[in-house]
Amino acid sequence: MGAPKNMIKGFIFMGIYTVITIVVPLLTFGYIRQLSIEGYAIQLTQQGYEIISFWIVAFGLLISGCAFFTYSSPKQSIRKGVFALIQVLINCLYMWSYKFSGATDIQIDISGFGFVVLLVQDLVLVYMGVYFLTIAIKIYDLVDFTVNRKTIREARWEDK
Amino acid sequence: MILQEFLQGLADIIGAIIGFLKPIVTPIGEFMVKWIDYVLVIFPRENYVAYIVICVLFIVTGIFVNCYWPGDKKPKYLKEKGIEFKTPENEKIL
Repeated sequence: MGAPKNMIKGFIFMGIYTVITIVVPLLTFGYIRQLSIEGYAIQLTQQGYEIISFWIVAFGLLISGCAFFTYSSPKQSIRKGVFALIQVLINCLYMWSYKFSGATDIQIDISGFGFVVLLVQDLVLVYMGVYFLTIAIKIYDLVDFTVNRKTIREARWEDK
Repeated sequence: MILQEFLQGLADIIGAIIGFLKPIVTPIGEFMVKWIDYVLVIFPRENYVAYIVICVLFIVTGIFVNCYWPGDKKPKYLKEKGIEFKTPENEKIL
């Protein structure tokens, strides 16, 4: 795959990650903000929404940029391994920022009735534990790409 | 009704799996949270400038690196010297 194709692939995946990490969560929180169930208005506090949207956009930008570098790199290359690992680490920060910003203990006000608090912190903890395995796999990939660098490169050049 | 039962069944299965994994996975998750809490302190919380700059830097570097090392063919400097692969011995010739 030549440089232009690599870059097109990178831009496509960057777009996908932008949609997944920024657009969809922002739309979801925007929707929840003014959600009404059976006539009862459910509101996310303005401050909570602002903090959440800040971290979503901030880490979403980092993940998207990193995705461009990762997916525009040649298959099984060391740079792909390095940036895939960085992307997973940023993903962890992104996930945890949901808790950090208060998104894991969302207070939903139901006008006239009080409020409901959603605590998903335990779920995020379990998810982070599972994510640790992803980090381990990425580290293994990186070691594999480095150790077998010569074989991988020769095979890639032979394909051409 | 069938959908509701199906969803309930699915929720029970997922709940059982999470419940089973929880004692193993949660301590690892807590470790992850510890280092993440340390790292998050260095990230600016006022504006997006730093994040935009890093994102653009990734993209520009990615384009630059891809232009010079697309990775699909042998680099020119190896071809010109008739060398198959860069090794410590070949590096002396280069």
